[in-house]
Parts: sequence; C-alpha cells; structure tokens
Amino acid sequence: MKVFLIELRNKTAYFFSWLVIVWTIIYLLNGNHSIHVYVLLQLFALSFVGALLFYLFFTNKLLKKISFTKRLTYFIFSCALIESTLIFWFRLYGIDTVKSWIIFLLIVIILYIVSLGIFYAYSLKAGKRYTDFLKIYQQNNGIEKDV
Amino acid sequence: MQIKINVQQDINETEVQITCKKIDQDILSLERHLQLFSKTLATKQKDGKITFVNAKDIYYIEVVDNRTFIYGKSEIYETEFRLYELEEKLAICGFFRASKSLIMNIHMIESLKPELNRTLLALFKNGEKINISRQYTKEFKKLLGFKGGWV
Repeated sequence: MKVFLIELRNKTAYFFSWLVIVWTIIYLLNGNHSIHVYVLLQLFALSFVGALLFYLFFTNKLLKKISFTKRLTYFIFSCALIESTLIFWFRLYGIDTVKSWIIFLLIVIILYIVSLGIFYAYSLKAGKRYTDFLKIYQQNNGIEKDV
Repeated sequence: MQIKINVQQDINETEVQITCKKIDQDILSLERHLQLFSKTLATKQKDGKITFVNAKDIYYIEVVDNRTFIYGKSEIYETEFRLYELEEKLAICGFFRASKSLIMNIHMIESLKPELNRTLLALFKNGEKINISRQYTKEFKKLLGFKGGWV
C-alpha cells in the first residue's frame, strides 16, 4: 500500500507538472497571463486519473505476465476514453465538435503508433544485445561441466 | 554414524545407500543434502508418484502458496525443498533468482527482451516467458557480463 501511494504521488506530481507547463504555454500563446485555481484543480484531477491508470497498466500488481504492447494499448485507449470524458465534463478545452473529436482521436492513434514504433526499435536492438551476452554466458558456463 | 565407502570398478553410477533403524528428521535432512549434492531432486507428481528430476532438465522453480513447484519442458513436479535451499545449491548449475518466488535455469533461456519498466523478459526454450523483476535485473545483467548503457 505504501509503495502504491508513493508511486501514485510521484506520478501525479510528474503528470501535473507537465500539464501545468503545457497549459501555461497555451494560455500565454492565447494572451492569457493567469490560470484560475479551478483549472489547476481540474488539471490535478486529470493527472491523478492518468497516474492511477499508469500504475494499473504498467506495473505487475494487477496485470501480470502481459506484454508491453498490450499494456500500452490498454493504457492509451482507456486513458483517452476516461481523460476525454473528464475534459468534456470540465469543458477544459474547446473540443466540442465532431471534427475536433476526430482530430483528437487521430492524435491519440498517431501517438500510439509512434510509441509502439519507438518501443519495437529499442526492444529489438537491446534484446539482441542482451541475448548475445546470454549466449556467451551459456557457452562459458555449460551445465555439463558442473553436474 | 558410520561412513563406509566401497569401491567397485564394475558399476556405472555412484550409489549412496543409507541404512538406519528408523526414518527421522536427521535421515531426511541427510537424504535432502545428498539429493542436492547430486543435483537430482526427488519430486512428487500429481498422482503422488515420486520421480527424480535432474537439475539440467529444469526450466524454472516457483513457489505458489508456500508450495514449491518445478517446471520442466512440459511437466510440473512438486518438491519438499524450500526455494532458498534450491537457490543456494543449484546456483552452480546456472540457476538464478528472477523474483521473490522464482528461480530460473539460465541455460534454458532462449532469448532476452527488455521491458520499459527496467525489467527483463526471459523467453524459454519451451516457449514460456518469465519476467525478471527489477530488483534482480541489475544483478542478472552483471552476471551475464553486461556493462551497462541504455541498450
């Protein structure tokens, strides 16, 4: 429980910091020089939900022995669904037309594909290197020598 | 306790026979030590049949609900040994702790794959996958001689 709370606190703080930075940039670009406390609370709620989903899908506490691809898929789409519901509910951002929702969905899908692409490229390269080290170990420490 | 060693040139395999009045804890402990020494473990199958499994045929050993299970290519056996006993004795055969409840035979791993949460996924020769927890990943990389770096 303690580990869960620490992870939740750290991830929420991380997401919240980035959201506030992004929101500040958007506000400044639009000529606003202040953020309402109510908006900050809404951003905090979004960060908290995001951190909760992240913990749920990217640790072995609830979902065991599932691949990274499945974790990422569950996370991105559940996150998009829940967070967009919150955004819509809070009226945080001006995505209230079908066109803007389609653009939002496309951004999510592109992010998903890019994340998977980066992960696969990294995984292939690193996996090959680890496996090479493993094979050398297996050759140098053959079980027949010991038994 | 008397210890006798008989040398016979015509035998194929060394045999240790224990002669005792009754089977008590000391005798059972002695038997366990001998099994571990020979790297052959007495296991119980689902039907209660006792079989001996050689360490080199084991893929991994896992503790579930305080019971120790040995996983072969497709067979599962149960043993009376505790995980820490097996870890200590089988380390010489290439067994390594992958998580708090599991030790694996490094020689049975086909390939390794990194996960983004800084753990490693071990793919075994029989197609099974085991996740090496973050706590033991660093030590495992060190054992393989991996010097570090991002990839």
